[in-house]
Amino acid sequence: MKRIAYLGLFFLMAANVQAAEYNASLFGCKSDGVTNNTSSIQYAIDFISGKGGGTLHFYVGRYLTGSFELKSNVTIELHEGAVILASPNVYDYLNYSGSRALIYANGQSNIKIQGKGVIQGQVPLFTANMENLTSKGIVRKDSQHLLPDLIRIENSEQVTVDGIMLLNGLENVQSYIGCRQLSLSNQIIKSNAYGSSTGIFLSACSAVELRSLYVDASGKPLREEGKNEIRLQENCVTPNGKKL
Amino acid sequence: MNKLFLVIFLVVSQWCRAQEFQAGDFGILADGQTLNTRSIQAAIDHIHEKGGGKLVFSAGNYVTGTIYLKSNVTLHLEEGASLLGSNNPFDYVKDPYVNWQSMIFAIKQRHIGITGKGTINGRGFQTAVNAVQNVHRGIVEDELKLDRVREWNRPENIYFRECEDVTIQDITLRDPGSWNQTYDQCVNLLVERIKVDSKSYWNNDGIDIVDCRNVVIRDSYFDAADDAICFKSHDANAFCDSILVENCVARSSASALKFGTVSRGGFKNFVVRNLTVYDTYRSAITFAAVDGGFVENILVDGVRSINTGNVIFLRIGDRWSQGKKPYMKNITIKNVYAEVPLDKPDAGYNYEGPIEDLPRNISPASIVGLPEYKIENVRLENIELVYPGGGNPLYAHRGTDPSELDSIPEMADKYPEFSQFKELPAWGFYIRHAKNIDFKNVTFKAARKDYRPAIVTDDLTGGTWTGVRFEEPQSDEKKQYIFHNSQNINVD
Repeated sequence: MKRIAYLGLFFLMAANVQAAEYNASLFGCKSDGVTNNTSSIQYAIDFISGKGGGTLHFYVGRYLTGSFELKSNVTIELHEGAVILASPNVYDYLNYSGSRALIYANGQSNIKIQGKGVIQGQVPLFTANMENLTSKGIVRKDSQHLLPDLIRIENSEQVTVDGIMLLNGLENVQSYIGCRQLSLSNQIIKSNAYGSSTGIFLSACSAVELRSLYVDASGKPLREEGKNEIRLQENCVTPNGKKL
Repeated sequence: MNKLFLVIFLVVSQWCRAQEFQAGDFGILADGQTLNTRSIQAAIDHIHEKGGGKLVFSAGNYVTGTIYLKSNVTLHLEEGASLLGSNNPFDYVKDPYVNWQSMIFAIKQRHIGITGKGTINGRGFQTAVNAVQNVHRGIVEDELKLDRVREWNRPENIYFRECEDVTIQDITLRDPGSWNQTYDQCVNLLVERIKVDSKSYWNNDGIDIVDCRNVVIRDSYFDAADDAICFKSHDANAFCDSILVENCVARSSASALKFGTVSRGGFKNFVVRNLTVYDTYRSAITFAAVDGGFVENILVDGVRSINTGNVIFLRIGDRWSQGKKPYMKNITIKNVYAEVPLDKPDAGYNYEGPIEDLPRNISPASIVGLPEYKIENVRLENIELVYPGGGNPLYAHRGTDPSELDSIPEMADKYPEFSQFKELPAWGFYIRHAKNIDFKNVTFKAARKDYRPAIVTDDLTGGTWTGVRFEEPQSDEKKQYIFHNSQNINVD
């Protein structure tokens, strides 16, 4: 009897741990490349995180969005052909602790972005909009801090970005600050539309693993600040065949 | 006697005049709000029973769900008149005979048409989004493959099946929830001076001709999210036959001129003349025989393909053949100028084609059969292909060693696409499992040096190559063609 109770308990726990799967369309996300999906995506992430975690699936299509925040135990799965398309409007980006990003997280654990899909900036459009705002004196000239990263994760652990193609970032395609157990793998990064674009920015990260990255960026493929512990770097190259 | 002549004269003149009926007379409202489905159907039925004629829509916006066109009735949309699709998915019928949804159906009717400079606008994006929500609510069943309702559960603008003497003239077609227009097992179909402007949702094909005979498509313009001018064969016992496509312009986020994907019966006796293709994501020309069907006696003469991702993709596969043996033979493609870009050709269009099959340098044109089913007798004449070159082996690599060439998967049962093999070993042309492929006066240009040779053949038997030229910077010493397991190719 006790055994059965344990077994029952085990199954209950297993069911609880088993991640739930959610389609983006359930939350009204539209794949037309025109509809701004920010609120739907954020609601989906908060909802899934609130239910204990799970995976938000984006299938083929172009999902325009501004800033959204990742939460613990939520995986973003970008299936082949799915594009998270960064808004070209600076006001669609939130100011997170002085920095801006399309996809942001702070103080979270077990967060993942995975799949063969794409996260794409719209650099010529974005910079044209910025120039317009600066020329009218609405935004100050030294407004570099306004430039959003495609991904910026701070003070989080068990962070994985696997298989994603990252296109056309600004100053930093992706930034990781104070992260632990960070794994970046199977990425293709192409970011040459902005003057000097860094592929990966690391600051004070530990237990970092970099695997199979192809980084074609106008700036440094990898830029480090402070002390980082890169535990592993394998099969990571630039178009010239150099290591990162 | 005179009386008899008079009667005959009256009957004939009546018939020739194609009596006109005004939509407004049937209470059909042009207010852009009223759902006119029943009134339009009543008008069609009335005209049909009176022996036929034209139902004329003057300028205005006419909302409707599914209507059925009947013999001897033509819908005439005057300039400024728009038939607008209802956004309520329940306003559309899924016809039990064809198992598909459409705004305008005609099934087993004769002498019908849609004419005039007006527009049919399916407004399908919102209808498709509403259909997805109906599935999430649990009131409609659909597998939601790729997070969208299956294409047969979304309305097309036009679906005609087993009709005869069909005329489609001058109209503009926009934004259905699925394909724009299907003509399935129709005979004597004339499509001319139409415009398709349709990038609103998945599967927005420009035109789909399925197992039809005696078809002319001319002087028309297609700008579509999915394949632009598409021929299909759904029925293993039927095929597309005697078809002329001329003076057409096509833009697509898939392929411009396509045979397939569904290719059960076959395609034969085609002439395609003077085709212009631009900003197209996949291939200017795709001929696929992947479901047991055949492709035979095809002439493509005069193609200008600008900013298009791939030029020619001929493919035999074995997907849903069910024992039927596919073949592809006697194809001539001539007088082609094509420019392939480095960047995404359809960037900025709604419903861009999916970024996929990466990493991959620029893909070559290709003719790819199967070991047991070769593609035969293809003649390529007076062709200039301009590529960006610049293939980087660190990004993606496929060498020309026999073992590497043999490692390219056959992918017989996969969806056929020029990119499906990922990296291919040539920058200009790749030929596998083929017989008698002739090149005459074909020029390959690469803007930058590529690590690959221009042409690789694998299991090619027979071919006469004359006037094949290569231009690639810093490649004087490079061998531009590699013949692997190939024989009887005469190069001069």
